[in-house]
Amino acid sequence: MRGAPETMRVLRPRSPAEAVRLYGRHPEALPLAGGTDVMVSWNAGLLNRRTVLDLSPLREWSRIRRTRAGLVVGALATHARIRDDARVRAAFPLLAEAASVIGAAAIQNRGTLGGNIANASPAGDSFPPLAVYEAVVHTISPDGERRSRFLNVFEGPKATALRPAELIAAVELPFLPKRPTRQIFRKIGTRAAQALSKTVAAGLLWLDGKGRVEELRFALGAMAPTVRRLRTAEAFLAGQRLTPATVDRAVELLGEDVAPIDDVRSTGAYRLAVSRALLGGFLRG
Amino acid sequence: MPQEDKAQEPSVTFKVKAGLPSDPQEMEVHAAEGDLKPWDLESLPGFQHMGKPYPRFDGPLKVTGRARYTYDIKLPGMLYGRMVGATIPAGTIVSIDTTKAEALPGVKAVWSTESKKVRFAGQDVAAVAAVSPEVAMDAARLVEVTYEEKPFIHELRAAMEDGAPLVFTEGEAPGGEDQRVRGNVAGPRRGGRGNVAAGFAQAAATIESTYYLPVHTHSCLETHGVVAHWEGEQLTVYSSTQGVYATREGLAEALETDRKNVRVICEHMGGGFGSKLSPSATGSAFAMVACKLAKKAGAPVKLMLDRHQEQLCTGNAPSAQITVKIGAKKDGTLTAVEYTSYGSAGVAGGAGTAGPANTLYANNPNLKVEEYAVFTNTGPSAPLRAPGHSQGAFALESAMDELAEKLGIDPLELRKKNESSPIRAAEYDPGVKAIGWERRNKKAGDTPGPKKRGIGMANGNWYVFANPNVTVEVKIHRDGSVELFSGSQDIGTGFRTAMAVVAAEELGIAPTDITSHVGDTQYPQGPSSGGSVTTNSVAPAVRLAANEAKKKLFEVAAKALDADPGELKSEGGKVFVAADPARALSFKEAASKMPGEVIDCSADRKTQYETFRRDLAGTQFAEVEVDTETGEVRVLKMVSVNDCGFPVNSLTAKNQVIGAMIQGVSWALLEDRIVDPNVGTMVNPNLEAYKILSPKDMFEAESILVPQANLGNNTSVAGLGEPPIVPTLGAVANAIYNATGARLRELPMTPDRVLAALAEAEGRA
Ligand SMILES: Cc1cc2nc3c(=O)[nH]c(=O)nc-3n(C[C@H](O)[C@H](O)[C@H](O)COP(=O)(O)OP(=O)(O)OC[C@H]3O[C@@H](n4cnc5c(N)ncnc54)[C@H](O)[C@@H]3O)c2cc1C
Repeated sequence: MRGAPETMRVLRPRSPAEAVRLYGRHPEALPLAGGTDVMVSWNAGLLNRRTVLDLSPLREWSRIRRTRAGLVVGALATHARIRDDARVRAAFPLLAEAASVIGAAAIQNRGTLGGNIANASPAGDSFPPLAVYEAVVHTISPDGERRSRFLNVFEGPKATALRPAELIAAVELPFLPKRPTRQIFRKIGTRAAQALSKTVAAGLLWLDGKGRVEELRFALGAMAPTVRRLRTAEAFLAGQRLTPATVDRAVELLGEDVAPIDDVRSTGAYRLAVSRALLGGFLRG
Repeated sequence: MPQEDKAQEPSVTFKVKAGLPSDPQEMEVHAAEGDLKPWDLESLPGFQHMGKPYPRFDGPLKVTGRARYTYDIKLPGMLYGRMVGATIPAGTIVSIDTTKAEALPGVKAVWSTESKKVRFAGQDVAAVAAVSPEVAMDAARLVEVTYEEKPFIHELRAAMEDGAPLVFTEGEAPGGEDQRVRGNVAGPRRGGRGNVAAGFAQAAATIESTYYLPVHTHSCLETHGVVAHWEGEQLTVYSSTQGVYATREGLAEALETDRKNVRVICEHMGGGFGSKLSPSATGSAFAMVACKLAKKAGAPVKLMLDRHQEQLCTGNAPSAQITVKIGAKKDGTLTAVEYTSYGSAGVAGGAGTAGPANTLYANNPNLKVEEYAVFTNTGPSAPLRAPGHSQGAFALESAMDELAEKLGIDPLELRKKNESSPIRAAEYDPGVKAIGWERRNKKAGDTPGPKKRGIGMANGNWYVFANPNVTVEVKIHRDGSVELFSGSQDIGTGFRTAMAVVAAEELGIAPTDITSHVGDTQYPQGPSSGGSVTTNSVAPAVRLAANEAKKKLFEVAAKALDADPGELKSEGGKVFVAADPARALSFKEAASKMPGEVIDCSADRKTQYETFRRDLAGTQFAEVEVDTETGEVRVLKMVSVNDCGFPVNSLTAKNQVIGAMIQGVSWALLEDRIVDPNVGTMVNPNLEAYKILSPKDMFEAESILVPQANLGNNTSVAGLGEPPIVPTLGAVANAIYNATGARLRELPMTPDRVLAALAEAEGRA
């Protein structure tokens, strides 16, 4: 059974405040942003008789603002807007790159950053960049506003820590204290477009003047129920020089923080091997 | 496979310049009475339209969404049909209860099958017609089927094991009585020549490898479907089909009505690749069911399969496990080839793959071929663009590469050394030049860095088939407008445009001055589009009909020009005295002199000449880049060199070649029908998990056509739809080898397989 619109109810708030109020009154409602995930469920007939909270009229939430501390990307900013925004490209190039490989042009034109996060797919492509940029997610509900560390938003595949009647309003990206020495974003999909990731990686590396690791941030998607930072490898390398031995050890430690599975898109063994190759290649420079 | 044509009593003999322009040959052809002197190498330089690039007439309609596909047909009062397929792969239907479905408001008719045996998931069980697709879907879900389940077998290699559940009990298997069937394995069909044992004894080097290809589905963008509309006894069927006449024949028979009562129309269609040759599909009778539902409901019924159904029951290309053993002398001369193929066409027969082995390198004196068909509880196959040949060429041409490596000979030189087709011999050099063969790695994998590039090649073959049962009608109206009618359908090849090019060449006007009407059984009979027959079957009749019409026009014009009809010529939109071009009328003026309203000429196609090349050659080159850290393969460039006689419209001809390479690369790298071994249903019956190549994966594709005269008809035209997919799989695999030194013997060549092959190659080194 396809979606039957006559069975559904659509709430159309005109302002964020009204959206919050409506959602408070209808906590069972399903927020709708770009609809690129929602419409898949709709098409399968899974949303009949449901109430939808249509966020698309909320222009305030589609902007990208600059503050002294960073950029604040509205939850409704589309991947296309993020991809093309000069400020994002300059300060957060890994996120811009991720936005440019999500689905293909049509999905990028409609899909939003907030939708990507709220959908909480293990393979969300914006997640590894957001994880290494240590983004902060702004949410709002009738109980007030909250700020959460990006990684704390996820509880499992398709599961977030959002509370009832809570909406994502924006994602804050703090400017990096200094330019990373090296950075990487890499999506490995089945084909060049319209393919969910088999594995997706983002990394930032700062070396000090003596070639020692000041800081490494490395995140992997599609390698565990939720996006993961490689805390063990990161901690191991802090203060170390990148020698063949330390790199090999870091590559080995990657396995501590992820647990990839076999599915239609790939095998756990492949995902692990390739993630290791990506991390190793990145560290070796 | 080359067919034997029963030539009519030959009655006209023509001297022609045939063969390749680089190697013309004087020869005589014997044509049926009334045929025209064939276009030959001498006609080639004088062509006004033949072989030039013409955008397809229906292009603007298609890109603006105005072309009406079957999917777009909407009739007043039309109902929506939906098939219900078996949910189990093997067993017996105990009961089908449609009462709940019938009781659902909006449901107007229900059908259920009489057959009891289920042999694959998706097999027709029941169907409903209702006032909307949504109601039909709900009703389909209300059909209650009880099964008695049986053990099943889901895949080729598993089906060959001892004790595997049997798909057919004795005597039930398709393929005839006289074949040997053991377990799920039927065959072998044997072929060959000479003595392979003696051949291998002479060999200085021998290789033996086994290759595996999974089932690959057609994945037509427009799914199968029809709209069936009865008006009294008259039935009109809009169908997404490769054969309007075959559909009419099949439906008339199934519905026990006269063919005269059935009209089938296919104006535009969104891909068939062989899966739309049956009146319905190889694994479903949906078209017949739609007609029955429409009759019952007293209203038109539209029944389009959804993507899931499309993947299960409309056909696929058989999986195959092929072992090739080749022996050769030091200098590369082949001494023996042994070729053993096990293919699975699901519940159907016809899983052979030995076409290339039987045809390529025919100078090799010792060949042994055995082909087996293995049954599995999966949907029946259907022809897919050169059926069996891509699989066979992948194995044979990978093996040739392995032999070249072992002998230390350039794989191109090995192929040239053993080449038996003068046409392919002439095709190597243009391809070598276009790909830059000299850029390939002298030693496989011998490039620095993790991203490695390589170049490979492979050969393929196909045949010239022709269907002589063709009639074409050409009309010149008094106002000078011209129409052409052929019942054959344009399945995306650009057929309607190509036929206008042929008529334009004969009439001396521009192709765009002609309106082509195709794809309707109201028009004169034309063949189904399978086996690459449409263009070369219909073009000769177009030329004859256009020539008849031209002769009548010349009679009219001759009076006005005070000349003899025999002195006239038409070219560039003018009819003029050949010896004195100033004495001229425009085509329109000439037409205005006709006594009646229309010059209306029909012509039948003549049979093929008995002397013509029956094989089509073809060779392909691929350049790839392999990321050895991730196993990702990117095809950078492909070059295909093909012959199709005289190309009619070079634009759409090259389109076919490029399309075939895309489909082949998609097959090589991505496509894999996965069946769940636990429940026997397809895991990826959609286009999300069954991925085909996307525009972003597109590579630089070059098509080089080598013209050749005398393909057995008056236009020297042969088909081209199928041959260019045959070499692609092997060319890509061989390029990956050249890039990395890793040999991939199993498709699709996914990154995990590439990494595994790389690890194996490193282990060897
Ligand atoms: C063909 C196709 C290809 C795709 N390819 C990719 C890909 O390559 N990579 C990738 O990461 N994703 C991909 N996706 C998934 C999807 O496009 C993205 O996740 C996208 O970012 C979702 O955003 P949206 O605005 O369309 O979300 P919607 O569909 O509108 O919503 C998604 C979910 O988030 C909730 N939601 C939306 N906005 C908010 C909010 N502000 N607050 C709280 N909850 C909210 C909705 O209720 C819903 O549960 C693909 C989808 C399709 C259909």
